[in-house]
Amino acid sequence: MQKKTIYLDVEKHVCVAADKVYMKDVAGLYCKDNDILAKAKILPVASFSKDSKRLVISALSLAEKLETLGSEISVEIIGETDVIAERKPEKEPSATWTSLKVMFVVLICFFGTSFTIMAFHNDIGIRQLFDEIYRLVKGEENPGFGPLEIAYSVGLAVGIIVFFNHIGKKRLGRQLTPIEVEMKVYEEEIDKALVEMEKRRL
Amino acid sequence: MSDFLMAILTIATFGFGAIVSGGVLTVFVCVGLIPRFAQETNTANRLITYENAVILGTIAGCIGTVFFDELVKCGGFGAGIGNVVLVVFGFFSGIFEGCVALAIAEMLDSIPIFTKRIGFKKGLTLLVCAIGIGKALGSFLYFYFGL
Repeated sequence: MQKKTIYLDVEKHVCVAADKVYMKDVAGLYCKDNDILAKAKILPVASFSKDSKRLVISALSLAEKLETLGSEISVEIIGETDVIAERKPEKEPSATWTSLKVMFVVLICFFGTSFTIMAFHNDIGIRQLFDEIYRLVKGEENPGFGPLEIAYSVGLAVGIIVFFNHIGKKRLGRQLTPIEVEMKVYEEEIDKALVEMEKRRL
Repeated sequence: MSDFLMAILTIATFGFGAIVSGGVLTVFVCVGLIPRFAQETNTANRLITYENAVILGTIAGCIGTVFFDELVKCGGFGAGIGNVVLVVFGFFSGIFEGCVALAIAEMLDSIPIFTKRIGFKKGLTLLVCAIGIGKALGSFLYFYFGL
């Protein structure tokens, strides 16, 4: 009897809209035999209970379920070793609520960073520093509003824009911005921690 | 001669600004605050908006300190709007600084290390509340008594 291989590409993190989780929700599948593939896709693998919004399913348990389809089946796991399935909330949060939250974060980011740069400038005594540099170079008192201050401010703005690589919505290059990269790293760490916690509990 | 030096210096100051902003922003990015905010509010698709807020905030703060004297001459907002602006500024910058302070502490893994050392398992919520209240109290005492 010829073995039939199912390739199982397990996802990292998925959102499921229904209470029951099926094989096709948590993994990409491939098999030469279309019959087996169709059956494998609709295998139920787990279900959310009333109060659990998150499940961690191991690739091993998926393989076990697949092998119940027939003795001629062999499973090849090529993706992650665990998948986190998250129950999508019943209804989407309203647009107003989302924009309120965005507004709140925007205000924090705006005032927070402006406070931080002010605190930093105060720390180093930037105005006194500029006065001293001015005196050093020109040998006279700094009028306070001159090329030094303007060049510094413009330089600061240019530095920020180069750092983040975009002006408004317009990207200056094709790379991701540092915060987008950091966001991905953060999400991955959360996923890793969730899987570890779940394993520890079992 | 001094004018020539001044011209060179002006170009150099441009560089000062660029480097300073790079340094300050690296700190923001390293402590990973903005991803955290986005995660908490489920708005990771709005990261660009948040970055714009960071850019504008930093520029505004820079103008506020570097051109302090000139801005003061323009006059303030007056008591009415002025108080509102002060409260808004204080509230939101307070939230941000509180987050920065804890994020930096967390980078050193101080809490997990302590947890392991003294082997405590429950009451993390209590610990977090205690840190929050402690910070608020400390800040209040600092300003009230002018420490």
